[in-house]
Amino acid sequence: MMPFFFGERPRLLFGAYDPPQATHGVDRAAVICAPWGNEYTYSHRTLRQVALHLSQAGFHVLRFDYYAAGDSAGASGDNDYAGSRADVEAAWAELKEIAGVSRVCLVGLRFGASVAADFALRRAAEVESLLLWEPLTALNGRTEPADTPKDFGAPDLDEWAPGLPVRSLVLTANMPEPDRIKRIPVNFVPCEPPWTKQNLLTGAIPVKAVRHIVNWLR
Amino acid sequence: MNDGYREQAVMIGRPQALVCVVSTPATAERARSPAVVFINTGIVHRVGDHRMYVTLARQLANAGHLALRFDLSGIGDSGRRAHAMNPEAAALEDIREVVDWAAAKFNLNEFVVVGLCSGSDIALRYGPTDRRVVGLVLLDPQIPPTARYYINYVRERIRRPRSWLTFASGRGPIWGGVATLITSMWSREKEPIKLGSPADLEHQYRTSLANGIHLFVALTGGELAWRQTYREQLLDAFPSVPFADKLRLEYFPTSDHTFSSAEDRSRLNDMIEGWLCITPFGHR
Repeated sequence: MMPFFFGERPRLLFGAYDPPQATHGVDRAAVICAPWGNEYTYSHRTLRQVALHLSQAGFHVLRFDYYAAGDSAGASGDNDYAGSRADVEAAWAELKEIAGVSRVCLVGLRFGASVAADFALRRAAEVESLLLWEPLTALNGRTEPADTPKDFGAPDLDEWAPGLPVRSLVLTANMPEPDRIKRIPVNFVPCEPPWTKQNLLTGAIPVKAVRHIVNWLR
Repeated sequence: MNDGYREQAVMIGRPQALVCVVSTPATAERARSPAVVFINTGIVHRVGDHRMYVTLARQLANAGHLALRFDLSGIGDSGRRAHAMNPEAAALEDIREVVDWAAAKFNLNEFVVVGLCSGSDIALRYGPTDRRVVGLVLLDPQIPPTARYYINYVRERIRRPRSWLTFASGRGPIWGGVATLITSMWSREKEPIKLGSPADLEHQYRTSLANGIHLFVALTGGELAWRQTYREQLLDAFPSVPFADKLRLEYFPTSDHTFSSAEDRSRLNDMIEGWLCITPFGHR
């Protein structure tokens, strides 16, 4: 893994790049978009495992911290949705340059699913695959947790679905009903949610979900 | 990043497996002594709970200090050690490698180690093993319960109906304390010192002070109050340890264990920066 900063001052972003550990003749790449706030902290361990397994499967992988989050520049609280969406674009451009590829996969967890979907909506043709892991949206009529900022972009997937990349998937640990949002399939993989405090206390990795993500992207 | 500091991400160690972010003062030709090293809290990666290590590292770099936040092997982004070591030995070796790297690269030989919760316990254990460590910042370190702790604890819990259910079921620290007391009264053989036991902690504090290490200890009293219930618990738990003027003791009565309140974190950071500024670390 190679840690580095990228982007332009003052909006320098922290990145963690994992090079491919296997070759299949064609370079493939994936950007991982993390949740926000405490969910980011709690899920860090799991997203690192996603990155490692994708790397072993032959992907160039970039995790990054949004501005004003993690190791990236910016004071906590000095963030907004549009800025985080721009950070996805910066990470995307960075990985394309590192890997030398024209299309990149996107994996987003919680808030990360929001900004990943938002980016993919605008650049669908350049997104090879889009995986939205437990997005902040109303699957089954559920809503996001009370502590999620209301302006933090819970996408209306029903509205967005037609414009998202052809190869898109929603992953959830809760029994979905229906099993697709418009044309986007919703896969049900029961696991302990990696973005909760409980996960940080136990250190557990949702292995089935991680495998599902890697196998679907592979 | 603002003009007061710069940050660089590096890989440290043998082999290079420890991920570290180094905050350096932007203007000073040479960083002020001491440099500051942060230790993970449990398995929270190097940014710390509520990003508290990032904020503090940048504030200290702004004030002229070199600050290093890194992940112990097997935690956060750092890889596991190739050869199996027990976690404590591995942690001490990891810290030594980071201190060695910083000492060589920045020509510094005085370090302060910062830890919260389990991180402070590791810091306390590391400090006496390295003569370059001149200070420890221990945030909610492990402190043995005292008689006053139990009185405060019971007084607090007795107001909560749920506590009565816990007590009636034979669980909770009161029963644990009673069991420990009875066991120690009936035990005729002197037990060896166990890691993390009161005798072990006392030894760590004694050795640290003997080595001239200054201590900044901050305790929280909010939330569960399962670690300590009053400011002087550290002193009462180790009455024969000569802390004297080597100890700066602060108490945050309403703070929870991870300093969730931004105001509390800001106050804590200012205290630590001030302590680094006025403490005569060089006089050992």
